[in-house]
Amino acid sequence: MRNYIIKRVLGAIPLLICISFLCFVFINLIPSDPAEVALRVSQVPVITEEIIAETRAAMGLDKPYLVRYLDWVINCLHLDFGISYTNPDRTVGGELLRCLPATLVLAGASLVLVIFLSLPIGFFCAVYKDSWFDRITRGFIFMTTAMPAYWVGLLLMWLVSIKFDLLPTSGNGSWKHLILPAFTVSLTYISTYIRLIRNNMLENMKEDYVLYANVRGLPQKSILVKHILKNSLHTCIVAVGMSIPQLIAGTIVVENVFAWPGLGTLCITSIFNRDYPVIQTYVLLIGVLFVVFNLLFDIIQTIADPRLKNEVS
Amino acid sequence: MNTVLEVKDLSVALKVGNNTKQILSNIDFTVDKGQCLGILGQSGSGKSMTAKSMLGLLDRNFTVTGSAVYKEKELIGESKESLRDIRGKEIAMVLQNPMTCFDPLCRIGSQILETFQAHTDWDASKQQAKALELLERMRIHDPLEVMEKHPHQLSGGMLQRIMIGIAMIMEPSLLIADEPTTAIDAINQYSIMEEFKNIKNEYNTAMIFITHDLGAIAKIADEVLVLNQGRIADKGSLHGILHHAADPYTRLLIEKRAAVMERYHNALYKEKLRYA
Ligand SMILES: Nc1ncnc2c1ncn2[C@@H]1O[C@H](COP(=O)(O)OP(=O)(O)OP(=O)(O)O)[C@@H](O)[C@H]1O
Ligand SMILES: [Mg+2]
Repeated sequence: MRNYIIKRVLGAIPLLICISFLCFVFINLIPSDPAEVALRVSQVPVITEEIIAETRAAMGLDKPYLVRYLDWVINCLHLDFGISYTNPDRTVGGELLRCLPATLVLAGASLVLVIFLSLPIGFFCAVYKDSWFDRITRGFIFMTTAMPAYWVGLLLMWLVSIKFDLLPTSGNGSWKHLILPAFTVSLTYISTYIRLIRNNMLENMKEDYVLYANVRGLPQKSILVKHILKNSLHTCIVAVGMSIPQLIAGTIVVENVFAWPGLGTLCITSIFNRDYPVIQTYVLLIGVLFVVFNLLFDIIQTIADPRLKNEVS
Repeated sequence: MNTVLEVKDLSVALKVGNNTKQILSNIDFTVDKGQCLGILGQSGSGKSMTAKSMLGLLDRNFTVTGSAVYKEKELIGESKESLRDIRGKEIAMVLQNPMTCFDPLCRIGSQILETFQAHTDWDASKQQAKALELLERMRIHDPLEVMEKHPHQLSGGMLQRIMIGIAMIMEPSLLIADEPTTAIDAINQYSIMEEFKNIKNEYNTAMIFITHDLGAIAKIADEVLVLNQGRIADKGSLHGILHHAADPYTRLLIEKRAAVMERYHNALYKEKLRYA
């Protein structure tokens, strides 16, 4: 088991290298000159060719591509992500750290909503398949998959905050500010998970082990919860693992709709300001999160499944 | 009263959209204490359906009509919960695919114990003792270790034996075995058949033995019911069926079997000649 985990972790390293390289290349493909941008945001009055060349040298932009990439990666490994162009007195790391908690709160609240809503709803949809409850839920799933998050967000804002004046439209500060954005972020995931749990359970109900549990006269409740639900959730583990970074990355649009001061807002602002170091680090961070959570939940899945666990140890 | 189960006019229809498909029509039979009824038929002839329909194991799409009286109690139309109490305790069943019949995520021990918890008020130590007794009775080595195993770690023959053990430990009045030897290899098939013969001789349990294998039927059944496309094709004592089958379908089954046996003996004979 230990060897398996070590092997999996080592296996993720090439992937991380690829991600960092792609991230570096794409950001550098942006057609404006970082040196010029840096000068412009720091409001240098006259930008001449000489000053640009000077800045390029100062920023290390005149070095070969690969050297710059390696420098960047090595700095990143030392948790030094550079300095923001717009606020030269702030480090990128500091900026991200400042905005991270708000995003984590939003993503965390969304995850809690996703789990606590989709689990029981999916469960009852499967148990009472084709009942009115199941049909209404299926209609809801159909609708939410057709509506983009920002639109749902705006709709909710209009209905709940403006029409009925129940919750604040934007900002953060109290749990009241959290409800609408969290619900907006989680909405698509709730539908996905309801569908996943419902279909997994219906698939499992056809299995022989359910027939045999019925043959032995086990109580319906124990068959549903202890056997069918458990087996169904098992196949959801990896999906949850992938959803966590998706939730963190997915807040980007909703944060901007609700003016939530998290990573997403920072990222959009940085894009408008051409603040390359921030964008680059944000993209890298999200990429790394995907790899790490995928790896983590893969390992969890392996440990939780007796069949796989035996195979690897 | 020696009759354990009396089935009359049992029919099953399946609703698909607006159509209904007749799956079983007018099945009649009785099973007495200590007696074994063999149900013979091709794949898809409705053997499993006969057992499942009596025990309320079919979903809402199936309509079951007719009557199945178990010890003066009508099973057809009985509430789901009261059938649940009967299943596994009074009427036990052994299924065809031992490898897929246990929950892959649960340990064997917990799956045995949950059966006890559903039907008895035994305390934890009694449950444990009974589980060990069951495994020992089925000649499982290292029962304590086997209890901690997950289904995929055991062989089909072992799981099949555990299934029989679970069925018998509750001392049911009726045991239904649905093709218990189909999914396992020849050596295990032999020992499983021996197990059923033991049960019949020792416990005097009424038994329904479902199979498409005439050889297995010949070993254990007293009476035979031949099903073809959801209808009774032939019915009678084992001897009667083997030698004077009335129905052409039954004769076909028996002749095919005889032909296979003959080829097998010829092959063996030739082999012997070659080595002689
Ligand atoms: N869930 C189902 N939905 C639709 N038709 C079914 C279903 N289960 C069984 N049938 C039909 O009922 C008929 C009888 O099936 P049954 O399982 O009783 O056959 P069997 O004699 O046990 O065959 P086998 O030897 O393969 O187990 C088959 O023709 C099958 O097509
Ligand atoms: Mg069958």
